[in-house]
Amino acid sequence: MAHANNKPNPLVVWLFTTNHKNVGILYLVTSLYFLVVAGILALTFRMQLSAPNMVFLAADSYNQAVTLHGLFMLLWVTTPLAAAFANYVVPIQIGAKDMAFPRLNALSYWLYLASGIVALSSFFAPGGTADWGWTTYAPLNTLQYSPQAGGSLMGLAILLLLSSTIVATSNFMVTIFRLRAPGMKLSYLPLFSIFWLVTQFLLLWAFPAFAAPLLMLVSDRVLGTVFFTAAEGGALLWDHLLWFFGHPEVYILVLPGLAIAGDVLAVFSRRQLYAKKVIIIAVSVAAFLSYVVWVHHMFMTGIHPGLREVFNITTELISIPFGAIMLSYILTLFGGRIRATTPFLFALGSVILFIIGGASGVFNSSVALDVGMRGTFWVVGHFHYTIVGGGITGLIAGLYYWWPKMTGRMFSEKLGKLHFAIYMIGFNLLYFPMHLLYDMPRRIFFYDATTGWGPINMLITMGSWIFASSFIILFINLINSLRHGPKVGDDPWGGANYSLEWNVPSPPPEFNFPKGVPVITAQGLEFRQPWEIKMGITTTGGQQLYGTTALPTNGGSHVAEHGEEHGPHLSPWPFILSIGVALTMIGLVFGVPLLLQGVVIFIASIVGWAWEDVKEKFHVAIEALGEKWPFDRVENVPLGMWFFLFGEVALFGPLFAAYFFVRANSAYTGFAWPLPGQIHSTVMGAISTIILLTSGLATSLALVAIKNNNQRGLKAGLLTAFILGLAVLFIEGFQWAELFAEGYTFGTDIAASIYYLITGIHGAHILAGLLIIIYLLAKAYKGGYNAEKHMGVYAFAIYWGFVVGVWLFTFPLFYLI
Amino acid sequence: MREEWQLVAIYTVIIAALVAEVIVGSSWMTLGQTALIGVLVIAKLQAALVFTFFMFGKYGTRSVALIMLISVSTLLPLFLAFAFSIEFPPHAVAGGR
Repeated sequence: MAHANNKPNPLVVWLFTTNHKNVGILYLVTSLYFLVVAGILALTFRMQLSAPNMVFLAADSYNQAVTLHGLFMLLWVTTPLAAAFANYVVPIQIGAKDMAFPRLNALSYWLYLASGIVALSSFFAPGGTADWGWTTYAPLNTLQYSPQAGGSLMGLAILLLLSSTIVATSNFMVTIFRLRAPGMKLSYLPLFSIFWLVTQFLLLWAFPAFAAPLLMLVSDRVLGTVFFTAAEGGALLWDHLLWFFGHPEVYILVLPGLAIAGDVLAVFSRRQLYAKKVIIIAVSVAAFLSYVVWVHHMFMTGIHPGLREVFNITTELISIPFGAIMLSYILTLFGGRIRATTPFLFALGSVILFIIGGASGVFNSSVALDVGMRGTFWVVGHFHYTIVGGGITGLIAGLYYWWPKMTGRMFSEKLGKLHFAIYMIGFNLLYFPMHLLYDMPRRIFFYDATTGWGPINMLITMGSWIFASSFIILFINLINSLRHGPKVGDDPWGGANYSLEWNVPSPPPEFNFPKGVPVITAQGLEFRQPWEIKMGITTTGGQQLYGTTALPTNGGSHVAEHGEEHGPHLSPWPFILSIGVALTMIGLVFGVPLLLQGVVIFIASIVGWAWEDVKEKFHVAIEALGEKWPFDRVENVPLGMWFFLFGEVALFGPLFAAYFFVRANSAYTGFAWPLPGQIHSTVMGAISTIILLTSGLATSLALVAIKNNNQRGLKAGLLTAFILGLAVLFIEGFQWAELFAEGYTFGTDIAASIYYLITGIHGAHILAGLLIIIYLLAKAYKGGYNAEKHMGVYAFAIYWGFVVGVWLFTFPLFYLI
Repeated sequence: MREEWQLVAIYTVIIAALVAEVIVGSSWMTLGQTALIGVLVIAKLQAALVFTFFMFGKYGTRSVALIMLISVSTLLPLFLAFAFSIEFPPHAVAGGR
């Protein structure tokens, strides 16, 4: 944090922190809070289903409880809980001092919290919150069936959460690829860091892809577009786009927990993982396959039979890599000297439950069986075994495993084991009998005694209470350990030769490695000083091998490590910006005053952030001293931009796919798609294209200029790009105004809807680019760039090139063909 | 100055491609489906040039190009799945357009 003689208030520290460990703890506390909220919602609707003819919740309240439970568990609990551990331990495991972009890391958290608050506030909207089920199927998600404003607010909350995730993903990618310690190859990393990297790739392409249908949904509900009410789009459009995100999402939820299970099994078996390379290959194959299995969620939608066969096969194929991973885990245990501690028990439980869930899933991959089981409680049982059993149980193993590292205190093993016993009893009582309800529809809130479902439902509800009570033991144990738990050393589990976090104090100091930069050599782990690494000195006194020799000390302070003090590790802007965004979102539904306040705070925070940057008030030296493969030649900032743009491809791609679908469908529905030139002026479109291309050239020339230390060239190029970008926005606005005046509005027809959405999102990207140019110009006028230091300009050139590239497809689709 | 002139040359090529694109697109009455394919091919070529030169993809590592390729490739199954879902009964809201 700040310097010893100027220690800030603890509240300020927690609100303004950018330190990865603090951010991790914030994620942990928040995700556990949301877990409790989602759990309470589950208990209420389980009560409603506990017996025939039950009157505990009204139909709409039941639907709202189920919807929020599902959405919260998937989006606000499981992945953020994994992100808590990832924030805390991944930088340490790779040998870094912090994340590549600490302020963006804080921003990810605050946007996540803001999105959760917006989602919960939807309960208080007139008519309540979303009630369409977590899958948000069309047409249930349309205003006709769900007119309440809370539904729109929920859509906005999810969009906000997605933006938080995209920011975090780019940050983690750059951190893991570029900030590894010297000698730390990717394959040397513990399974959690490797699986987290794979998860980031899944997030990178899945979450922006989900943003596309959500933007359509929100614009349908708020602006009156017709994506999900028109015959050309409708339910099938939503289904494809939702599940294109939804199936990779399953692995996003499961992989971190499974990775923790693998690491914990290895550490507590006192063995290295069996066939680690096979596990890495298997998880990579599974990640790839996860993008070609989604249609198995749609076997009953009336799609082409050939399509069902293909996805039947790909779904069965994906069980092979997971089988290999499970076998490797089991073989790790053979011959190991096992210590059955609480983390180990939860890890083992996670593997067993995941195998049961996987086995029941094989049934669903078959089209024939799926026809019978679709939409029944069998499916509910199956996915809870995989996601809660495999994913969340593994994350609880991680909570126990890293708790002593995070707090410096040990929890009660006795209470931990009691928690495990009750957790497993409750879990299996809750979810296993669901398989017996293979004839009970999952989307009903009421049934009568003649169905015969009553006794099993009662058993399930009892299981839910037992399962929930196990978490009370967890919280008591952890809270108690904070005050009364015995203090632990660096390595309470004997994992020092497995991963780096067990070679630093518990809890770790601000920049993690007080004894120097960790270096992985043929002999094991050493700590060296940065100047030694920069000068290529290959050995120092006091080397130690993994966990065999006492570590040397050199004073341990950050000054000793780096030879200089850095600015504070605090920034208010991520926190303030998230307040602005949250108020804006809520204001979109609750009224203009809130909206205006939100916009003002948002703009002020952007200006404040940029000013902090221009004045270089925030500076945390995150040097890339070690392994950077395969991105040795791309600096952190441009690489972060590249990853962001890979995600943008996954946003615009589904939008263009939707265009293709609705346009092709129009031939069958009888809708006459406008002829070229009939609605949009080709000449105006071509002029916009030429101007945008010219602005792209100007940006590129600005970059070339600053590479040659030509300050005037830089400023001239950026200014030209700004003026041209503004001109394109003006032309677009003019065209919109003209079309509106002619009565061609958002909801005129499906062609109008897709035109306004794609050009609108593209326009928002131009606007964002113009704001970045203002920042770059301000910094350029302050002399912030030169031949050696111009990565911000480089990153912007990449961004602006992408904006130009997207338009190169937008122009012909709407103006030419 | 070599790099500047190279960028200007690429810009000229893209603008020329734009002119060609407009001509091909405007001839849809005579060219039919060929116009559609031609326009999309030209747009892809333009985008490739923008990626390589305006986005400085040529200075990035092969890994950047590879991940960009994978990013685009992940979308292919979506387009194919949509293509095989087109002629099936539409799922509109009753009374909706």
